[in-house]
Amino acid sequence: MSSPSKRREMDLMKLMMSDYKVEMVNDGMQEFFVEFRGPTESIYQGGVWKVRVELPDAYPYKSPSIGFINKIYHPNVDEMSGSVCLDVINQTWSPMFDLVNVFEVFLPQLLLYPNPSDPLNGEAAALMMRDRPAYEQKVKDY
Amino acid sequence: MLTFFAAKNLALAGVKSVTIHDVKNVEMWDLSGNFFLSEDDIGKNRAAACVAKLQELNNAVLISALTEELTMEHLSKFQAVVFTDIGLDKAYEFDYYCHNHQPPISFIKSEVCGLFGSVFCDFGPKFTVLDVDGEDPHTGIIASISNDNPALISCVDDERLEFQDGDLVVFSEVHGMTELNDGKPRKVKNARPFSFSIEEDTSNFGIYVKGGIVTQVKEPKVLCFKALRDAMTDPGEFLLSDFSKFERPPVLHLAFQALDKFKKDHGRCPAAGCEEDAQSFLKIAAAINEASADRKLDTIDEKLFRQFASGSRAVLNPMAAMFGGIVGQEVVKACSGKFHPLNQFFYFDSVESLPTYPLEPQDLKPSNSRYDAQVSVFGSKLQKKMEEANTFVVGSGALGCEFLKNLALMGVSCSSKGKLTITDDDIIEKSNLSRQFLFRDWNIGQAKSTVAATAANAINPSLYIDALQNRACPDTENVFHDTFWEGLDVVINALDNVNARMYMDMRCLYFQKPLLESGTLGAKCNTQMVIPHLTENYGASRDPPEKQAPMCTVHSFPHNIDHCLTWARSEFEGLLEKTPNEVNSFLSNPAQYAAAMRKAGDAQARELLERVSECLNKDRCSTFDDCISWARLKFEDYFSNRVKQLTFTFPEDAATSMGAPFWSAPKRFPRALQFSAADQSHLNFIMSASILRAESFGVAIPEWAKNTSKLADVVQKIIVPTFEPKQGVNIVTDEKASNLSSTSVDDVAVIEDLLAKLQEYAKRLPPGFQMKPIQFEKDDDTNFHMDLISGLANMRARNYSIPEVDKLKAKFIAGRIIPAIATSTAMATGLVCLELYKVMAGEHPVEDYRNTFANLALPLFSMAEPVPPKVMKHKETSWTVWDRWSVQGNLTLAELLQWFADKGLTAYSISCGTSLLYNNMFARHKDRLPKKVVDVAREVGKVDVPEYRRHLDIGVACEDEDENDVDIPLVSVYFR
Repeated sequence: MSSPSKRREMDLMKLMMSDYKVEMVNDGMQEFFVEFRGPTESIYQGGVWKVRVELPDAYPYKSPSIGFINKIYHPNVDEMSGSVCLDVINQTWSPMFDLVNVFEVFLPQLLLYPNPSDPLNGEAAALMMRDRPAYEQKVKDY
Repeated sequence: MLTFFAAKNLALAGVKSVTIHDVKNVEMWDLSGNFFLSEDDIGKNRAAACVAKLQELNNAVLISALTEELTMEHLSKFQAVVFTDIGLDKAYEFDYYCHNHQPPISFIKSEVCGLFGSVFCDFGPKFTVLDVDGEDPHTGIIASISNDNPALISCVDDERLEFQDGDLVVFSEVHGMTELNDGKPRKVKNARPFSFSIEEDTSNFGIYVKGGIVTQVKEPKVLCFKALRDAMTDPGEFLLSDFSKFERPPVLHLAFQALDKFKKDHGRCPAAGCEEDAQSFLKIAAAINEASADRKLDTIDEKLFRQFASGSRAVLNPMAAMFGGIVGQEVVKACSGKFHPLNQFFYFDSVESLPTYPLEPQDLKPSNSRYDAQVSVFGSKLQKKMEEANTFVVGSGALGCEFLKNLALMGVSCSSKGKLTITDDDIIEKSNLSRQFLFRDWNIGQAKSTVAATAANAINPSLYIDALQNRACPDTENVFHDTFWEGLDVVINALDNVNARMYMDMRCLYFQKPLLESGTLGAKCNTQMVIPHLTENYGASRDPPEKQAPMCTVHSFPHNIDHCLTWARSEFEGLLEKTPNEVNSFLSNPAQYAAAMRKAGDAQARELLERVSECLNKDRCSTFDDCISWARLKFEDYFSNRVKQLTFTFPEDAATSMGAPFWSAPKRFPRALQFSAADQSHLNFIMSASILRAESFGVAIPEWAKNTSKLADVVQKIIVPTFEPKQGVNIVTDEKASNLSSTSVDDVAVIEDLLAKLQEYAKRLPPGFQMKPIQFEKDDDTNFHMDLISGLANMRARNYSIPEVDKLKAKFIAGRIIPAIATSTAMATGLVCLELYKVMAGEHPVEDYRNTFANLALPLFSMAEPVPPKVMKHKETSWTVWDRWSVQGNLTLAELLQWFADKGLTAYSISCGTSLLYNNMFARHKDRLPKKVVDVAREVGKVDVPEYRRHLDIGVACEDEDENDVDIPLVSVYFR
């Protein structure tokens, strides 16, 4: 594995090579935006979100912080701030993971299988548990 | 001297009383190791000369001197006695007396002779240890319990269990199988990461339903010590410190006996470099070895015994610091029963600290200087080198103080050709005094580095020291510039956080300077040597970052006090720092603020505005009564309304879509609190919240604010509206429709509306009104910050039936502080200074260096060679992290790419700091190819190379011909 100093560059490269649209701010590598499409066969299909990625100083030893810029209705995403409560990102992150994993696996998983028993958006979680169709409708409305 | 180091640590640890016994007078020789003595003290009694200075360290400890011949009667008054300079025969007598005394007196004997040291403990025939490791008891949250024999308990999988087979545990809050809640300790078997069994037949117990917490209970342990005379002939197993010296302890056991015999025969220690004494010492050792029947060594390592004899008279400062730490901790163990005592002999040596070149006898001769003892071991050549060293000590806290004392006593940077720079941007606070022993009451509020430097100068007036108040970070590179770094010989870290350590590591790597790193955590300490080209750097291996609780847990589902404290911290910040800042930035320039909010135009901006608006309208406080009323309503909101809402949305019997109960472990079901003016902790919350609120609004705080009964009167008059949970989700369509419309409405419109209202509110404010943001400061006991934090956290804990904590414990957790203790700090700095001898002499191979991990609580000492740096290769070139590639000439980006291409490497990404200069994926970066690298760095990265520097450093990511990444070193472009 390569040295931590180059991980940011490598991760960014890999992300772009996997055809993600990356928008950088003044070519800084600490914070940038990535376009993320709702996974097919999920109720989020067709949605496009701008996702803010922040790489902390201790990256990749510390997990990147991920936030949705435009609104998303989801039990594990804070409605106001857009911050994501994702187990893998927040708790079980390991330096072996990279940004492509985040966008190819972790985020799609989150949208496909929300976890209403650990909600950040309590209302969305309760609605999902009680009234699935209403929840799905509301997701689409957003 | 060892006595005084141990005494210093004890005074700092705060035992009840310390008595020092010494019949000898101060000699020049003593000055090299005893920082309590100065040249004026020569000729006085050693103990008497030190008492006053020891007393200054801690007024609560009674310190006295005993200067007459020691008798048994003297001993009977003490709980523990330490002997550091005593013949074996006498020691046998005293130990026999202590061992058989009722109650037994703990006997500790310790000696340091040059680079060799020993400790012996005899705490009596039956000594009870209450807490063997000093760790918090392990806990687990139960997920299921089987009705079986033995019963299998599985726990929730969000944290690994740390129970071990044989541990005792108790159960609480178990539903269903309530028989387990009886508080009876049960033994753990088959401990696994998420489950374990207990020795209990639960077949006929109730069926487990839910809940339950399992907690380890600590079992007292009884130890049987042997008396010194018996232990001497049958020492049992020695505590090992260094696995590369597996055979060493029995050898040192013999060497120390031989030294005792030599002293008895000659009335003195062997002289340094004296062949005659060495011969007679070897003869004595051989004779003792012959006589020691079954423990006889096959051969006697002559070189080692010569080294032992030659340095035996010298008490070296690093050795005394280290053993002072160990002995100090043993005394605390003897008096408190906390932590496991040393059982019974411990031997240690650091012969690798000797220079690699041979030492000539005339080089070891004393010259009536304060360094005579040190010179007798290392020779005058190394002494001179140390005095002329240019040293950089980063940090002047607990570690920094110890280092300065050690360095001053060793004579490091104590000639006009040397210099010691110490830097720390902190000032002295009351809580520092217990372990940062160069500081006194009257220094509170002064800069740490300056006070420490003055104190170090008093210890050794020839120290050349420069005290700075700059934090070591990228912003101070104008102070710690290239020239400063290039002149350094060695860097010693005395830091307390990983970020600063990483920064220093990076700088040392860059300037190729040796870095001596150390740290302590309670009774644990570690040291790491970072030596250019020989070892890996500090950042190459690191611990996993601290575990942070996931947001959702902190938000609504806390299950331990940490979660509550994290929440309390973030609420404190939001209420008292962030919102007031926001208010101020609105008030100081409303137009600009409005523009910024309009531009953002998102939900976050809207929420900020809502907070500002609340602060200036509904929740505005102009009198102290307003503040009390605000605090009371906050109480209702936090600890009642929010809980009611949550339990309304998720009732106790709620089920997930899978049908499982929603409120299952680790989640805990909360209950709302009913405010009561009779509850002291409720009132304390109101008090701290209203006082801080008043402070942030600039409202005068009346005298009676701190009077709880007066406060209770006011609080009871406040009218609290009753709360109805929002019919958020299941009373369906209408509510949802309106809810939906309100969120779907453009945030922009809401923002506009709020901005308009703000303008109105602002008009009603007194002219020039500003709020006062409050920054959390944990160390001031009078500022109410910790009161509010612990109030918030404890009330929340009460909601969730989590055990509450007191203010001090809350402070430790919230500040992530584990109290530093003087003993482990002393030990860490002693170990580092033993390494400093190697760095200063130079030419030591990596095998001579040692990294250490030690835990004085167990006790455990584990020393190992540092790990060499990783070697990377591409074709014929190989390099490590210590190397750098330099490119000559003011190249363009295209030319630079070509430079790599010539090496068979494709550079696909080039960066400078955190800015990307070039990446072949970005089409627009192609325009930069004809530009000079320096110019791109200036335009894109805003990097300006200072006039005096000829090069620019860039990071390059490249691939070889087979598209494998090659991790190349930093590249310096010499453009001038």
